[in-house]
Amino acid sequence: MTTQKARPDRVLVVDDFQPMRSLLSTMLRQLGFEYIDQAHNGRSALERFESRKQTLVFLDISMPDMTGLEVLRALRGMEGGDHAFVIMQTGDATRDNVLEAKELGVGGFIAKPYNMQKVKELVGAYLKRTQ
Amino acid sequence: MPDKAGQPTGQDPRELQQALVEVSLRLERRVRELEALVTVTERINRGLLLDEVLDEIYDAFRPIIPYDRIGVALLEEDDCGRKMVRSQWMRSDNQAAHIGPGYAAPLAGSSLETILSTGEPRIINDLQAHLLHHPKSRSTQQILKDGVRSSLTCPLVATGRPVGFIFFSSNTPNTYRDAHVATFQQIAGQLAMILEKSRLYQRLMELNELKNRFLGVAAHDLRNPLGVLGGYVDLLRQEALGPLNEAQQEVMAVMADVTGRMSGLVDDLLDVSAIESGRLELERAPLDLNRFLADQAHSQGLIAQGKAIRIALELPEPLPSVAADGQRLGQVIDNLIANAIKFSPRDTVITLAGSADADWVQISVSDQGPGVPAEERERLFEPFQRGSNTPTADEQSTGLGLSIVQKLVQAHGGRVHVDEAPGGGARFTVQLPRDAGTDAQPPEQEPHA
Repeated sequence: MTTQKARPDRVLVVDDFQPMRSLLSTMLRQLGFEYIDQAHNGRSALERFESRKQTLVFLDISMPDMTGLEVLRALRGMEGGDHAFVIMQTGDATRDNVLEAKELGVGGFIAKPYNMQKVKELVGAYLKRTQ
Repeated sequence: MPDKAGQPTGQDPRELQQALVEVSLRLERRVRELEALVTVTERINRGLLLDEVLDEIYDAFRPIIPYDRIGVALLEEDDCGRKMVRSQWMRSDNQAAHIGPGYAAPLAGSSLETILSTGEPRIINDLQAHLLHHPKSRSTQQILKDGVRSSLTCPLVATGRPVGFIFFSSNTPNTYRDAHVATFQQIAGQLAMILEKSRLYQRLMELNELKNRFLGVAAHDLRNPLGVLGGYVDLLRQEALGPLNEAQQEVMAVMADVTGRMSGLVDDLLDVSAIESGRLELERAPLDLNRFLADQAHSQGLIAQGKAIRIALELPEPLPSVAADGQRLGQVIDNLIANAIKFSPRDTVITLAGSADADWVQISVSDQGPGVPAEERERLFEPFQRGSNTPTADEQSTGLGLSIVQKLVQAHGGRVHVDEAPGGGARFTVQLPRDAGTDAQPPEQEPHA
């Protein structure tokens, strides 16, 4: 696989497990993304979104303090937040969690463990929407 | 009757008649007493958990021993290894109770120690007089405050091992007689055994819950790091981070295989933990089994090709839909076919078949392997049980697959069993209740006379 041409889009990766953020960032770099921000919890995710308005967000649903759903809810209320393409990681999610996420509007769901194929498909859906 | 019994005694026949009446009355009393004892043991044996057994005791003993309250204390060891008597349970008609559950005192040096060593119940028919002789006895002071005036203390000994005590207490002095002791002694052994059994059962349940929690936490914390490892291995193998030479590719292939197996095990453990602690959520919806089974046969067929095994789908008639969680039922069929592949020789056929009758839909997976010996069939579905057969291509197994299959099928209201396939292989059959909403049969009409 060859590294693709650099994309101008900003991505935000939110996960409380650092190696998971690194893996996802590496995969995204392979797909051509250069501007990747990381956050280890809900609060810092919202701070980073406030200042940089990423258009693609990978959001882990089970995190201490603020859950992914709470982050998503807050994000949708922020300026530019209703346009962000959010991909929700739903490994341990209950059916109700998934339904609520759908109501709040998500671009896609992804289950751990991540692999390149799944990430590529979801990024494809994002690109299709933004084109 | 033997001669001796019929020999004339030279006594008045009326006296003889009266003696016979007495004997018969005594026998009747004895029968009633035995019946009462049987009832007592039956009742207290009903409960499985200690608390259930104890709750039965309070009412069960009423017909054979008088009391206003009953207490049970069990022996345990404290942190220093000292034998302690801990009050486990108490039921009373009195309002106040100073020696309730949780109260504990050392066995050594207490009057209970003597009762335990002799094995003889102790009657105190005047507790106020008893306190005058033993002014320091705290427990006597306490129960007097509760209004207790006489007591019967019985040791509980299960198969020679002291377990604890049962205390019968009465608000009336001079309540207890040697006859009560004799009655109690007849079921003392059984009572002690039942209490010990239920205590162990309760402890087992607690440990099992602890095990499930531990399993869930451990597996959850392993899953994320494993996922990262697998993801990087995947990236490296695709040469996304640079070209690999042949030796490096081989190493990466081994790493991918091993991390895949570990992830499989962790997922199985999480499933077991979720199922056993009741956290499994089924998302049931009407499922078209015809399409579902065709998809399963196709996707598993690709895996089976590695051993030149063909998967044949047999659906003589279209199947009705069932209310099922498609993903979980997929896991069931996946596991059964993977199991069949594991024990099948190369170049054989695995048959995935479906049929239905009035109440059930049957899905079976048959192979042409060695089959499961009859004596192994029942425990095959227990966790970590492996049969005597070995996988034909050195495949590994966690020993959890079939137990997960059984739990998932049971969660659907169904059942699973294994028998012999025509031709001698193993045949696993899953039975699911027919979807009541879509296919309900009309109730049978009463025949008109």
